[in-house]
Amino acid sequence: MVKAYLYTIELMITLSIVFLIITFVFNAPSFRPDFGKNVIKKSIINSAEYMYYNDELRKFMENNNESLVEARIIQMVPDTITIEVSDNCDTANLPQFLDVYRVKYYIAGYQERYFFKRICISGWEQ
Amino acid sequence: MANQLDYIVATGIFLSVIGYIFLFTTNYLESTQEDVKLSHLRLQSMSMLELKDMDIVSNHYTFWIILINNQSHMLGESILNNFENELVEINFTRLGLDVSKINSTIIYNGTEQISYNYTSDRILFVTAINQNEVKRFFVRITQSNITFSPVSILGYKNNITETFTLPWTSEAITYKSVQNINNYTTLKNYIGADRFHMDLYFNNTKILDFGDTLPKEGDIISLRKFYMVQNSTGAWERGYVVIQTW
Repeated sequence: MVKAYLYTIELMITLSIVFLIITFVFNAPSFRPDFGKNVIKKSIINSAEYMYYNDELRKFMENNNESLVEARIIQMVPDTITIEVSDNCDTANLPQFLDVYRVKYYIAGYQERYFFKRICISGWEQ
Repeated sequence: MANQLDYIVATGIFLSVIGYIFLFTTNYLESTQEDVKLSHLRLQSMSMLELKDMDIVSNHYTFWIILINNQSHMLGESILNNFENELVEINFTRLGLDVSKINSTIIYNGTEQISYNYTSDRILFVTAINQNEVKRFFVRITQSNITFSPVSILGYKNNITETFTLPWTSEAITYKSVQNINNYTTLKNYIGADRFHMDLYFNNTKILDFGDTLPKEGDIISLRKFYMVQNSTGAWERGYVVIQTW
Protein backbone atom coordinates (compact mmCIF):
# COMPACT_ATOMS: atom_id res chain seq x y z
CA MET A 1 0.00 0.00 0.00
CA VAL A 2 1.40 3.39 -1.09
CA LYS A 3 1.52 5.90 1.68
CA ALA A 4 -0.41 9.19 1.25
CA TYR A 5 2.60 11.48 1.71
CA LEU A 6 4.17 9.99 -1.44
CA TYR A 7 1.19 11.29 -3.43
CA THR A 8 1.75 14.70 -1.86
CA ILE A 9 5.42 14.70 -2.87
CA GLU A 10 4.48 13.59 -6.38
CA LEU A 11 1.96 16.41 -6.67
CA MET A 12 4.52 18.95 -5.44
CA ILE A 13 7.10 17.74 -7.98
CA THR A 14 4.51 18.03 -10.75
CA LEU A 15 3.58 21.56 -9.71
CA SER A 16 7.28 22.49 -9.58
CA ILE A 17 7.76 21.28 -13.15
CA VAL A 18 4.71 23.29 -14.27
CA PHE A 19 6.11 26.45 -12.66
CA LEU A 20 9.53 25.80 -14.17
CA ILE A 21 7.97 25.58 -17.63
CA ILE A 22 6.04 28.81 -17.02
CA THR A 23 9.27 30.49 -15.99
CA PHE A 24 11.06 29.43 -19.15
CA VAL A 25 8.16 30.56 -21.29
CA PHE A 26 8.20 34.02 -19.68
CA ASN A 27 11.95 34.10 -20.00
CA ALA A 28 11.80 33.64 -23.80
CA PRO A 29 13.31 37.03 -24.73
CA SER A 30 16.70 36.42 -23.16
CA PHE A 31 17.81 40.05 -23.64
CA ARG A 32 16.22 43.31 -22.57
CA PRO A 33 15.04 45.35 -25.54
CA ASP A 34 17.28 48.31 -26.35
CA PHE A 35 15.01 51.31 -26.75
CA GLY A 36 17.95 53.72 -26.52
CA LYS A 37 19.00 53.16 -30.12
CA ASN A 38 15.92 55.06 -31.34
CA VAL A 39 17.03 58.04 -29.29
CA ILE A 40 20.56 57.90 -30.76
CA LYS A 41 19.34 57.67 -34.33
CA LYS A 42 16.68 60.34 -33.85
CA SER A 43 19.19 62.68 -32.19
CA ILE A 44 21.56 62.32 -35.15
CA ILE A 45 18.79 62.84 -37.71
CA ASN A 46 17.46 65.90 -35.85
CA SER A 47 20.92 67.45 -35.66
CA ALA A 48 21.61 66.86 -39.36
CA GLU A 49 18.22 68.31 -40.28
CA TYR A 50 18.85 71.39 -38.18
CA MET A 51 22.14 71.93 -40.02
CA TYR A 52 20.38 71.38 -43.33
CA TYR A 53 17.66 73.94 -42.50
CA ASN A 54 20.31 76.37 -41.31
CA ASP A 55 22.23 75.85 -44.57
CA GLU A 56 25.37 74.81 -42.68
CA LEU A 57 25.43 71.22 -43.88
CA ARG A 58 25.73 72.13 -47.57
CA LYS A 59 28.30 74.81 -46.87
CA PHE A 60 30.51 72.56 -44.76
CA MET A 61 30.28 69.63 -47.14
CA GLU A 62 31.07 71.80 -50.15
CA ASN A 63 34.39 72.53 -48.45
CA ASN A 64 34.84 68.88 -47.39
CA ASN A 65 34.83 70.08 -43.81
CA GLU A 66 33.50 67.00 -42.08
CA SER A 67 35.23 67.92 -38.82
CA LEU A 68 33.04 71.05 -38.58
CA VAL A 69 29.93 68.94 -39.18
CA GLU A 70 31.08 66.58 -36.46
CA ALA A 71 31.76 69.43 -34.02
CA ARG A 72 28.31 70.92 -34.62
CA ILE A 73 26.51 67.59 -34.19
CA ILE A 74 28.41 66.82 -30.98
CA GLN A 75 27.03 70.09 -29.56
CA MET A 76 23.49 68.98 -30.29
CA VAL A 77 23.34 65.32 -29.22
CA PRO A 78 23.33 64.06 -25.61
CA ASP A 79 26.75 64.00 -23.93
CA THR A 80 26.68 60.21 -23.64
CA ILE A 81 26.75 59.79 -27.42
CA THR A 82 30.00 59.77 -29.37
CA ILE A 83 29.80 60.96 -32.97
CA GLU A 84 31.95 60.17 -35.99
CA VAL A 85 31.31 61.80 -39.37
CA SER A 86 32.77 60.36 -42.54
CA ASP A 87 32.34 61.62 -46.09
CA ASN A 88 33.39 58.31 -47.62
CA CYS A 89 31.41 56.21 -45.14
CA ASP A 90 34.39 54.14 -44.01
CA THR A 91 34.44 52.36 -40.68
CA ALA A 92 38.02 53.13 -39.68
CA ASN A 93 37.29 55.14 -36.54
CA LEU A 94 34.32 53.18 -35.29
CA PRO A 95 34.47 50.99 -32.17
CA GLN A 96 34.68 47.26 -32.77
CA PHE A 97 32.74 45.98 -29.80
CA LEU A 98 29.89 48.46 -29.38
CA ASP A 99 26.57 48.90 -31.15
CA VAL A 100 27.00 51.72 -33.67
CA TYR A 101 24.03 53.47 -35.28
CA ARG A 102 24.63 55.14 -38.62
CA VAL A 103 22.62 57.75 -40.54
CA LYS A 104 23.34 58.55 -44.18
CA TYR A 105 22.58 62.03 -45.46
CA TYR A 106 22.65 63.11 -49.08
CA ILE A 107 23.45 66.63 -50.23
CA ALA A 108 23.32 68.12 -53.71
CA GLY A 109 24.72 71.56 -54.41
CA TYR A 110 25.43 74.75 -52.56
CA GLN A 111 24.57 78.19 -53.90
CA GLU A 112 25.45 78.28 -57.62
CA ARG A 113 27.57 75.14 -57.59
CA TYR A 114 26.23 71.64 -58.14
CA PHE A 115 27.85 68.65 -56.49
CA PHE A 116 26.63 65.42 -55.01
CA LYS A 117 27.78 64.14 -51.66
CA ARG A 118 26.88 61.53 -49.10
CA ILE A 119 27.96 61.66 -45.50
CA CYS A 120 27.67 58.99 -42.86
CA ILE A 121 27.04 60.12 -39.31
CA SER A 122 27.70 57.34 -36.82
CA GLY A 123 26.85 57.42 -33.14
CA TRP A 124 27.30 55.13 -30.20
CA GLU A 125 26.88 55.25 -26.45
CA GLN A 126 30.07 55.58 -24.48
CA MET B 1 7.96 9.84 12.86
CA ALA B 2 10.25 9.24 9.85
CA ASN B 3 7.28 9.69 7.51
CA GLN B 4 6.40 13.04 9.06
CA LEU B 5 10.04 14.18 8.73
CA ASP B 6 10.01 13.27 5.01
CA TYR B 7 6.80 15.24 4.63
CA ILE B 8 8.29 18.31 6.31
CA VAL B 9 11.48 18.13 4.17
CA ALA B 10 9.46 17.76 0.97
CA THR B 11 7.23 20.69 1.90
CA GLY B 12 10.29 22.82 2.65
CA ILE B 13 11.93 22.03 -0.68
CA PHE B 14 8.67 22.68 -2.50
CA LEU B 15 8.12 26.05 -0.83
CA SER B 16 11.73 27.10 -1.55
CA VAL B 17 11.47 26.21 -5.23
CA ILE B 18 8.05 27.84 -5.60
CA GLY B 19 9.26 30.94 -3.74
CA TYR B 20 12.29 31.30 -6.02
CA ILE B 21 10.21 30.81 -9.15
CA PHE B 22 7.60 33.30 -7.94
CA LEU B 23 10.29 35.89 -7.22
CA PHE B 24 11.98 35.32 -10.59
CA THR B 25 8.72 35.59 -12.51
CA THR B 26 7.48 38.73 -10.75
CA ASN B 27 10.89 40.39 -11.22
CA TYR B 28 10.76 39.59 -14.90
CA LEU B 29 7.22 40.94 -15.24
CA GLU B 30 8.12 44.09 -13.30
CA SER B 31 11.18 44.81 -15.48
CA THR B 32 9.16 44.22 -18.64
CA GLN B 33 6.47 46.57 -17.38
CA GLU B 34 9.17 49.18 -16.63
CA ASP B 35 10.69 48.75 -20.11
CA VAL B 36 7.33 49.19 -21.77
CA LYS B 37 6.60 52.29 -19.68
CA LEU B 38 9.99 53.86 -20.51
CA SER B 39 9.55 52.98 -24.16
CA HIS B 40 6.15 54.64 -24.18
CA LEU B 41 7.56 57.78 -22.52
CA ARG B 42 10.46 57.93 -25.00
CA LEU B 43 8.13 57.59 -27.96
CA GLN B 44 5.87 60.28 -26.52
CA SER B 45 8.80 62.64 -25.95
CA MET B 46 10.19 62.00 -29.42
CA SER B 47 6.80 62.64 -30.96
CA MET B 48 6.27 65.83 -28.95
CA LEU B 49 9.72 67.12 -29.92
CA GLU B 50 8.44 67.51 -33.46
CA LEU B 51 6.00 70.12 -32.07
CA LYS B 52 3.73 69.55 -35.07
CA ASP B 53 0.57 69.04 -33.02
CA MET B 54 1.23 72.18 -31.04
CA ASP B 55 1.23 74.50 -34.09
CA ILE B 56 4.53 76.04 -33.02
CA VAL B 57 6.64 74.90 -35.96
CA SER B 58 6.01 76.22 -39.43
CA ASN B 59 7.74 75.88 -42.77
CA HIS B 60 9.72 78.75 -44.23
CA TYR B 61 11.11 79.19 -47.71
CA THR B 62 14.77 79.99 -47.94
CA PHE B 63 16.98 80.66 -50.95
CA TRP B 64 20.07 82.49 -52.16
CA ILE B 65 20.41 85.33 -54.63
CA ILE B 66 23.79 85.46 -56.32
CA LEU B 67 24.92 88.64 -58.00
CA ILE B 68 28.01 88.40 -60.19
CA ASN B 69 29.38 91.57 -61.74
CA ASN B 70 31.14 90.28 -64.84
CA GLN B 71 30.59 90.57 -68.56
CA SER B 72 28.57 87.38 -68.92
CA HIS B 73 25.97 88.63 -66.40
CA MET B 74 25.46 92.09 -67.94
CA LEU B 75 21.93 92.99 -68.99
CA GLY B 76 21.23 94.54 -72.40
CA GLU B 77 23.76 97.16 -73.35
CA SER B 78 25.24 97.58 -69.89
CA ILE B 79 29.00 97.93 -69.71
CA LEU B 80 31.11 96.27 -67.05
CA ASN B 81 31.71 98.80 -64.31
CA ASN B 82 31.48 99.43 -60.56
CA PHE B 83 27.83 100.03 -59.70
CA GLU B 84 26.78 102.06 -56.65
CA ASN B 85 23.03 101.41 -56.87
CA GLU B 86 22.54 98.09 -58.61
CA LEU B 87 18.93 96.94 -58.46
CA VAL B 88 18.09 93.46 -57.24
CA GLU B 89 14.56 92.25 -57.83
CA ILE B 90 12.75 89.23 -56.37
CA ASN B 91 9.66 88.38 -58.37
CA PHE B 92 7.46 86.29 -56.07
CA THR B 93 5.03 85.27 -58.80
CA ARG B 94 7.81 84.05 -61.07
CA LEU B 95 9.42 82.10 -58.23
CA GLY B 96 6.09 80.58 -57.16
CA LEU B 97 6.22 82.09 -53.67
CA ASP B 98 3.39 83.22 -51.40
CA VAL B 99 2.90 86.95 -52.11
CA SER B 100 0.96 87.46 -48.87
CA LYS B 101 4.24 87.03 -46.97
CA ILE B 102 6.15 89.52 -49.09
CA ASN B 103 6.56 92.02 -46.24
CA SER B 104 7.69 89.29 -43.79
CA THR B 105 10.73 88.54 -45.91
CA ILE B 106 14.17 88.94 -44.41
CA ILE B 107 17.25 89.42 -46.57
CA TYR B 108 20.79 89.11 -45.29
CA ASN B 109 24.10 90.08 -46.82
CA GLY B 110 26.33 88.11 -44.47
CA THR B 111 25.02 89.13 -41.05
CA GLU B 112 23.75 92.52 -42.24
CA GLN B 113 19.98 92.77 -42.70
CA ILE B 114 19.00 94.49 -45.95
CA SER B 115 16.16 97.04 -46.13
CA TYR B 116 13.95 96.79 -49.17
CA ASN B 117 10.97 98.20 -51.01
CA TYR B 118 8.11 96.05 -52.23
CA THR B 119 5.12 96.11 -54.56
CA SER B 120 2.27 93.59 -54.71
CA ASP B 121 4.53 90.74 -55.86
CA ARG B 122 8.09 92.11 -56.04
CA ILE B 123 10.82 92.97 -53.61
CA LEU B 124 13.34 95.58 -54.73
CA PHE B 125 16.59 96.60 -53.09
CA VAL B 126 19.85 98.18 -54.15
CA THR B 127 23.43 97.25 -53.48
CA ALA B 128 26.87 98.49 -54.42
CA ILE B 129 29.00 96.03 -56.35
CA ASN B 130 32.45 96.32 -57.91
CA GLN B 131 33.72 94.84 -61.16
CA ASN B 132 34.15 91.04 -60.94
CA GLU B 133 32.75 90.99 -57.43
CA VAL B 134 30.35 88.23 -56.35
CA LYS B 135 27.67 89.03 -53.76
CA ARG B 136 25.38 86.52 -52.11
CA PHE B 137 22.11 87.39 -50.36
CA PHE B 138 20.35 84.96 -48.08
CA VAL B 139 16.56 85.27 -48.20
CA ARG B 140 14.04 83.89 -45.71
CA ILE B 141 10.30 84.18 -46.24
CA THR B 142 8.72 83.71 -42.86
CA GLN B 143 5.25 82.70 -41.76
CA SER B 144 5.25 85.06 -38.80
CA ASN B 145 3.18 88.22 -38.35
CA ILE B 146 6.34 90.33 -38.18
CA THR B 147 6.28 92.76 -41.06
CA PHE B 148 8.85 95.22 -42.30
CA SER B 149 8.05 98.69 -43.57
CA PRO B 150 9.12 99.43 -47.15
CA VAL B 151 12.14 101.63 -47.64
CA SER B 152 12.19 103.91 -50.66
CA ILE B 153 15.02 103.35 -53.10
CA LEU B 154 16.20 106.02 -55.52
CA GLY B 155 18.58 106.39 -58.43
CA TYR B 156 18.95 102.70 -59.10
CA LYS B 157 19.68 100.90 -62.35
CA ASN B 158 19.42 97.27 -63.28
CA ASN B 159 22.67 96.28 -65.00
CA ILE B 160 23.24 92.71 -63.83
CA THR B 161 21.09 89.61 -64.05
CA GLU B 162 20.63 87.78 -60.74
CA THR B 163 20.86 84.05 -60.13
CA PHE B 164 18.32 82.49 -57.75
CA THR B 165 18.87 79.12 -56.12
CA LEU B 166 15.93 76.76 -55.77
CA PRO B 167 13.96 77.67 -52.62
CA TRP B 168 13.99 74.98 -49.95
CA THR B 169 11.70 74.65 -46.95
CA SER B 170 13.02 74.73 -43.44
CA GLU B 171 11.25 74.15 -40.16
CA ALA B 172 11.36 76.99 -37.68
CA ILE B 173 9.69 78.33 -34.56
CA THR B 174 8.43 81.88 -34.48
CA TYR B 175 8.00 84.02 -31.40
CA LYS B 176 4.37 84.65 -32.30
CA SER B 177 3.49 80.94 -32.34
CA VAL B 178 5.08 80.46 -28.92
CA GLN B 179 2.89 83.23 -27.50
CA ASN B 180 -0.17 81.19 -28.43
CA ILE B 181 0.78 78.49 -25.92
CA ASN B 182 -0.92 79.31 -22.65
CA ASN B 183 -3.30 76.60 -21.47
CA TYR B 184 -1.55 73.42 -20.38
CA THR B 185 -4.66 71.27 -19.87
CA THR B 186 -6.16 72.23 -23.23
CA LEU B 187 -2.90 71.53 -25.03
CA LYS B 188 -2.35 68.25 -23.16
CA ASN B 189 -5.82 67.01 -24.06
CA TYR B 190 -5.49 68.27 -27.63
CA ILE B 191 -2.31 66.33 -28.34
CA GLY B 192 -3.38 63.38 -26.18
CA ALA B 193 -0.28 63.40 -24.04
CA ASP B 194 0.32 62.30 -20.47
CA ARG B 195 2.01 64.70 -18.09
CA PHE B 196 4.83 66.66 -19.64
CA HIS B 197 7.01 69.68 -19.20
CA MET B 198 8.38 71.80 -22.01
CA ASP B 199 11.15 74.40 -22.00
CA LEU B 200 11.94 76.51 -25.03
CA TYR B 201 15.19 78.41 -25.43
CA PHE B 202 15.99 81.16 -27.91
CA ASN B 203 19.75 81.59 -28.14
CA ASN B 204 20.25 79.90 -24.72
CA THR B 205 17.67 82.17 -23.03
CA LYS B 206 14.61 80.41 -21.72
CA ILE B 207 11.50 82.03 -23.16
CA LEU B 208 8.95 79.35 -22.28
CA ASP B 209 8.61 77.21 -19.16
CA PHE B 210 5.42 75.26 -19.57
CA GLY B 211 3.68 72.19 -18.18
CA ASP B 212 3.47 70.10 -15.03
CA THR B 213 5.98 70.38 -12.20
CA LEU B 214 8.64 67.69 -12.43
CA PRO B 215 8.30 64.89 -9.85
CA LYS B 216 11.00 64.58 -7.18
CA GLU B 217 11.51 60.89 -7.84
CA GLY B 218 10.86 58.34 -10.55
CA ASP B 219 11.89 57.96 -14.19
CA ILE B 220 11.85 61.14 -16.29
CA ILE B 221 12.57 61.02 -20.00
CA SER B 222 14.17 64.25 -21.19
CA LEU B 223 14.91 64.90 -24.88
CA ARG B 224 16.15 67.98 -26.71
CA LYS B 225 15.86 69.16 -30.30
CA PHE B 226 17.38 72.19 -32.00
CA TYR B 227 15.38 74.52 -34.20
CA MET B 228 15.85 77.71 -36.14
CA VAL B 229 13.88 80.36 -34.27
CA GLN B 230 12.69 83.84 -35.12
CA ASN B 231 12.70 86.16 -32.11
CA SER B 232 10.37 89.04 -31.32
CA THR B 233 12.38 91.49 -33.47
CA GLY B 234 12.31 89.19 -36.49
CA ALA B 235 15.97 88.18 -36.26
CA TRP B 236 16.96 84.52 -36.67
CA GLU B 237 18.76 82.57 -33.98
CA ARG B 238 19.49 79.08 -32.85
CA GLY B 239 17.01 77.69 -30.35
CA TYR B 240 16.06 74.39 -28.83
CA VAL B 241 13.17 72.72 -27.10
CA VAL B 242 13.40 70.31 -24.17
CA ILE B 243 10.52 67.90 -23.58
CA GLN B 244 10.29 65.94 -20.33
CA THR B 245 7.76 63.17 -19.72
CA TRP B 246 7.24 60.88 -16.74
